[in-house]
Amino acid sequence: MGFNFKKGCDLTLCLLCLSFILILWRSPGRSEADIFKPVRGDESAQFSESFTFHLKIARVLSEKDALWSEAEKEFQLAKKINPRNYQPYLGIARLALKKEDWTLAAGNYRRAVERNPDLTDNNAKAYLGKELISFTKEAIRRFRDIERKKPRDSVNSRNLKNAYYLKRKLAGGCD
Amino acid sequence: MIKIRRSREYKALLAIILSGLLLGGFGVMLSVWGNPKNTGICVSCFLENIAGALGLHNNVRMMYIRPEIIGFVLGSFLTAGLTKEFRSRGGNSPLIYFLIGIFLIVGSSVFIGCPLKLMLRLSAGDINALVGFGGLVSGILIGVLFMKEGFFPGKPRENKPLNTVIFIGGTVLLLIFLVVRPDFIRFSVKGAAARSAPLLVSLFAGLVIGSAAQRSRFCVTGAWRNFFLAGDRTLLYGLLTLFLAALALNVSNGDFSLNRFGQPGSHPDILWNFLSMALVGLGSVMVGGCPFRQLVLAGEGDGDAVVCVLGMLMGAALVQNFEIRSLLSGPTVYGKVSVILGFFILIGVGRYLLEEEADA
Repeated sequence: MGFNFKKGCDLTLCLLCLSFILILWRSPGRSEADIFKPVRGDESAQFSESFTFHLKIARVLSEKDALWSEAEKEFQLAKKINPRNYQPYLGIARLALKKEDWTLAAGNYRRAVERNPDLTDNNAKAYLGKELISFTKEAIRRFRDIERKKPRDSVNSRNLKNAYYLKRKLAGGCD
Repeated sequence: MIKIRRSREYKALLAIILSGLLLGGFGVMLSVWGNPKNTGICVSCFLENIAGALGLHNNVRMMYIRPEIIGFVLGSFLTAGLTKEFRSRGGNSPLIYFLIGIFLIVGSSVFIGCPLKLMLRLSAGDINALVGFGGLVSGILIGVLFMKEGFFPGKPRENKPLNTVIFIGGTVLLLIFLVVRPDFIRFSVKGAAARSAPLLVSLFAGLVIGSAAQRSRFCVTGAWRNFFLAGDRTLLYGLLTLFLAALALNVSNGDFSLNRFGQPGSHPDILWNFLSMALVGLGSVMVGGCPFRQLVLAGEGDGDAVVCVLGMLMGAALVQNFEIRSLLSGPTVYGKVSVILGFFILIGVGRYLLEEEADA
């Protein structure tokens, strides 16, 4: 019995229908997609008074070494109020870097960049330039060292993914 | 007689190698002169930029009238006119061409790049592009299977030249908008669209490439289609030249870096890099050429290609508005769904046209 091309097509169409439904069914909820939506254009309307208040307090607290945990709490509160804004994530990332917590720093730098792509765009005012470039280089070096020692470490592989994401953003391609 | 044939074959080979050299050379150098990295030439990215400039989407980072696209069309038009190859034709299944045009851009945007950019990414050492390349060739193979089974969208008919002249007029209008910059045309000040090579350089590159591609019939997908269908390797030499020229320039510029995760304008998702390019491969075979070839064909009077280009422009707006395009972190849910939908529609269309052929 030879291969029937038309029947093959019909079978493929059925399989495509099934995978279409499967992807929709397994897709994340709309709310999660919303959170990771990059911020575009003017976002000043999203600022509330309490958001800026917590952000200011956090910045002041993060200046003093003994108050870093308090500062982080304030950043977390600001994040809760406006999860789409990049500033609390950037604040947490910088704080984590001071504490030498590379995992927390990589994750939060990434979230900040996802929310505001201008951070990696040398044509934009918000461009972080040297800070992000040097962080990314060092983070990749560290995470790759750990990978060589512990190749199956899932946390480290996620960290490496975050650092590579930053590297791709900084490379300046079309996205 | 054999001498004449050999001389024609030699000329065709020379033309295709020249096209490959120009595409590879300008493809890399336009990035050096200001275009985004690995995106010296990318039909899908550039159409997304044009769609943004015309107000068809609202991504403030993707709005610019790319002179390269204008150059491809006008270069092809002028050369076809000078060599008396301009022939207004078409009229076959316009909506099918329009629909496939949309999905060519959907596939390209999920991969982040058209087949031409795939070659440029490959020459910069992007391993994700190698996965996409595998997908593209697989898609072309499926398309070739359809062709062997009798897929045929219809024979093109001669029609009034006005049909294509309107398209050329629209392209000239875009050039005027680019130079005059009226208020209603939007230009990005940040993001990928804000990075561009000088206007005259980009336009010149577009014109030269469009002209050479019209003469040589250069096409990324057509090269493989001809090879699989008839064992013809002529276009493949052009593709190889493109790759080698771009590779040599990337290595000499220090832009070559063999890795999977740190490449500009790419994401490391293996499955969706493969599937999205397979969709582009299949669609390209169905409409008779890759997105770049469609622009060149549109310039030389092919009405079906004009409809396909308009579909691509619509696709460029849709991928931005519906978040179908991939982010650097990977494909979106809407991107994945659209690729599956694309396969469903393309295979459905292919199957329907097979049936029609059998009934006729």
